Amino acid sequence: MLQLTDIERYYRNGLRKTWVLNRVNLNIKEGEFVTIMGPSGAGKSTLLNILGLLEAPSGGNYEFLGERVDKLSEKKRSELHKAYMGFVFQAYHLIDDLTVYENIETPLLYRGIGKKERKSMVAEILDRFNIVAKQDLFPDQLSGGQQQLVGVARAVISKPRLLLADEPTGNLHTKQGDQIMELFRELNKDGVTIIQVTHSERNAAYGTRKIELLDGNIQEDQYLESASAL
Amino acid sequence: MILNHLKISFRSLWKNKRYSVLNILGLSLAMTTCLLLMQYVGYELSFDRFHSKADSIYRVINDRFQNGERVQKGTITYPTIGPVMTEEYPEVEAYTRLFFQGNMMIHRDEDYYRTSEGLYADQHFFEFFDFELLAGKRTGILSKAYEVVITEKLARHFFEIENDDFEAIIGETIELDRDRQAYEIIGVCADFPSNSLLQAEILASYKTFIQEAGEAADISWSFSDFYHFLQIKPGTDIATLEHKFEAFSDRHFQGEQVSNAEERFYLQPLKEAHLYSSDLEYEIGQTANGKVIWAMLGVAFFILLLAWVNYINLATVRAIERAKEVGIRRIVGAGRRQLINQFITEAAVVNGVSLGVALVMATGTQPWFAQLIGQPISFSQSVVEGGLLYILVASLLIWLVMGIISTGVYPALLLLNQQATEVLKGTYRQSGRSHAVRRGLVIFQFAASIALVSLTWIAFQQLRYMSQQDLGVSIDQILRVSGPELTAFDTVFIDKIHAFKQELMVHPAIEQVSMSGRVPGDNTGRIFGLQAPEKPDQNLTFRFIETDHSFDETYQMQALAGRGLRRGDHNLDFNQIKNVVINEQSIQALGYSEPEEAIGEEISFWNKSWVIVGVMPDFHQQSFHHPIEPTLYLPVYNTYQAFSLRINTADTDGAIAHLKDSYQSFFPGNMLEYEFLNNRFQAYYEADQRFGNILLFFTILAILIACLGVFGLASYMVYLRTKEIGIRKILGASVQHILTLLSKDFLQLALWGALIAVPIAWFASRYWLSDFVYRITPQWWVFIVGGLLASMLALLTVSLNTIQAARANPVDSLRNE
Repeated sequence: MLQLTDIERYYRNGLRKTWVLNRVNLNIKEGEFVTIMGPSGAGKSTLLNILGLLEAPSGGNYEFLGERVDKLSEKKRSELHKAYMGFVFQAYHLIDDLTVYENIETPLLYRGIGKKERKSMVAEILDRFNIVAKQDLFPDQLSGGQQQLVGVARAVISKPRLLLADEPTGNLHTKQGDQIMELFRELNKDGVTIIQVTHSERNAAYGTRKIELLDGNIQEDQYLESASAL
Repeated sequence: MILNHLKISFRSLWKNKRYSVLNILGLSLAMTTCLLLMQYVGYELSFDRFHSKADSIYRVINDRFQNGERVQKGTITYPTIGPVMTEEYPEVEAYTRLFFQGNMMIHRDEDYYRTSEGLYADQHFFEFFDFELLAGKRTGILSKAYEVVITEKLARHFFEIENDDFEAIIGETIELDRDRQAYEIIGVCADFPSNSLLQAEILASYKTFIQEAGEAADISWSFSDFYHFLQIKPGTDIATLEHKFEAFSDRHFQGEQVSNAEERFYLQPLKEAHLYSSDLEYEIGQTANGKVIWAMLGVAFFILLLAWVNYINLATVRAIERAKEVGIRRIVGAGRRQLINQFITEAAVVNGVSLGVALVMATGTQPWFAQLIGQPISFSQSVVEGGLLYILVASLLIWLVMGIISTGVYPALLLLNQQATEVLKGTYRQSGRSHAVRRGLVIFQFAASIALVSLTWIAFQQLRYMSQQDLGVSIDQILRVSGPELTAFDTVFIDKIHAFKQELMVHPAIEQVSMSGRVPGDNTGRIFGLQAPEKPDQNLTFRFIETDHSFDETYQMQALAGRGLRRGDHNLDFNQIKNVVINEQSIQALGYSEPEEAIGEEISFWNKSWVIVGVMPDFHQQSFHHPIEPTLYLPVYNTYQAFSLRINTADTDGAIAHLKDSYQSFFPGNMLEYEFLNNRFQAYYEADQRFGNILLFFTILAILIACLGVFGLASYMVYLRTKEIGIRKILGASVQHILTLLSKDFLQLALWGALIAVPIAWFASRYWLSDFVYRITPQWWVFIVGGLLASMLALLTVSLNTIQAARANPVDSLRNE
């Protein structure tokens, strides 16, 4: 599905360059559930942003669905992002002024989907995530776990082929975290490719592949027994 | 999508009440001002547009030159001008001529009505002007002597009108002044609209005036008390026609030969007469200063600009808070245009709500505003009748569009230039440029406020200067009493006046009485062909006032040389009158350097010679808008003259009671009217006073709006620096310290604002003051005070926010992080 070749990302600090990613090579196939791990500052989030087309690499090749995307204009990149990807954040990043329903609906609005269809899509996902009763509440009226459920629902409502998650359970209790991970596994079974960044081995265990990142390099890349679970 | 944007916009307004209120309050205040002002300007622009021939009607302006110098720029001219121009120039299609009588005593049996708007008009008047006729025919009306057209108001005063049937009084008669002649009512017209240059309550036929004043009123080339309007053929080049009038002048006036002055004729479009006549003399129409009117519109728009600046400022600062939301939206797939649309929708909602509020406020404050500007305006009149509806609607649309674009697009672009991922990491920073823009906008607001404060201050200083300046004549205790105009001017008239004055002075509170053709404050007539021994072969122009011999005593003046007028200087036979008194200005005009030199000298005008017997000190005959001119005091009586009574104000009531009794017994059948001269004088400054009030109103608004902006900005600045304040306090900073820290920024901005404002205000005040003959010099400290005032207000506004933050327990603010 995607192919990174010699991807670099550095920041200029005066004359010095600070490397965040250093010649990263990575190939991810459709249907994988990849976990990226590593200590703080290893470049996990940057890698995820580059994968999600939210950030451009400083160097190297990035092929997404067989097309080179690293040199694309911002507009083109955001179109691809919009068409194929969903994003889940550690801090949920729901819009405070919108209700649960509206937060989930927002991506559909930006994709120009008609009102009727929006309604049925949102209803379906509310039902599937078991949050129908919460649809008219505002984010600050929900628990962290519930907020992240909404965050995931919003990320998958537009049926992305790639779901990117940056420490999706970082702010949650273990039990809430497990619930999100179960959800991810289900989505993965339905064919969604997932790439998540996490510190937690427990979460990594839900995936099919684990990548260790250290100082901007891939340290380790291993495939896990499928559905090793608990 | 648009519905979704709308919903979100309203919700966001509701959730951020404080900023919404600041924004909407500021914008709607500004829009209200704009609406009221547009209405006022609309009213002023609507003048005379209701006449269907307004586009082709021009007024004749007559400038007079002597020895190459302009001595008069007047609206009055000779009775021959209209008829002869119509005859000689095909471009001139028709004329109408008027004589302005002003005061007229109208009576029917024992019923009296005093008007100050009496006019003689010829038979073309109602063909030129569309004043509505309630009874009578438009053509042929006023073509015979002793015909009058009266207004509805007058008709209802003298007659019982049933079912608006004004035809019923056609053919009835009334009498004018002391003329025992019956005037036939030939027409009734609706009261003249307030947005008409010409105002009249009664129109007598011009033929009457010719009959009464003699043929000169019809054919004279030297009797110049008439107002002419011409109808010019469409498509005529006015400048060319005016150029042709030079030959007309040479032909008929032969330099200074005929009228003692060189005559120049110009055409003033009727539609411009109301606004662009402030430099014309002997104006009878209602005029306003067009410069001031347009300036007001400019200032109103400026205030709107201030409010938009507030919105932009608050929106960019709020962008810091909203950055996260925008970042999320972009990650879930919002495109640039969609986000810009969202901001525009929000701006549209804010501007739209403000406009709604403004419409309500404008309607509500309309009566109060009408009072402030002293004009009987209403929306329907200035907007609908003035034909300005489309202009109003267009401007409202333009405001909305401009407001929405300026207040929606800039903040959106600001946010879109950020990296979405950076924003979500919480590292959102506004660029130095947006910071500079914001500072620039605040400086602009300070500059505007400071300039307005200084200008208002200077305007009020000028007004006080004019109304409190020593006129050179004592008017405080003077009671002006109307003359016995219905009493015949016969052989005993002068003796009768003398006896009346003696009778009045029997009362201890009446110190002195005088009778004169003009009292201080009145405009005076001019003599153009005065000849003096030291200025041979030159025509000189002098003002003149007809007075009795107690004028100097009543107004407490001492002759500088020679003597004042004496009783013996008067004579019932005009040809026997010889002695004349002049004012100090005249000395130089006559070619002398000391008052004494003029005594005993012989001058001539009105085809006879006169001897100067005294020189009186100068005083301001008219308000401080007018310069002092060379003036003659002539010992001439007539019945139209008014009395001036010097009253001991300790017993004003007693004096007035005595006046009433004496007046009744000496001049039965005359209507007694009196007023204190200083009240009358104040009225000459009313227009300036109104201008001052409006300026004050603007200034208060501008400051209010600027304060709203500073308040909003300051509270956000404080919010952003909460953590810094907390740390500083833990490190030992005092409340005062924090206050200084936070206020310093704003003070700096105020200082920059002052730097920009002062030169602008200085030039603007000089420009405004240049219209006044007697004016103050703007004092430097006024600008300092203006700057200080604005800074103080800014400081006060900032501290409303900062004190709270500075006093807060630092632990709380740090825990927030």
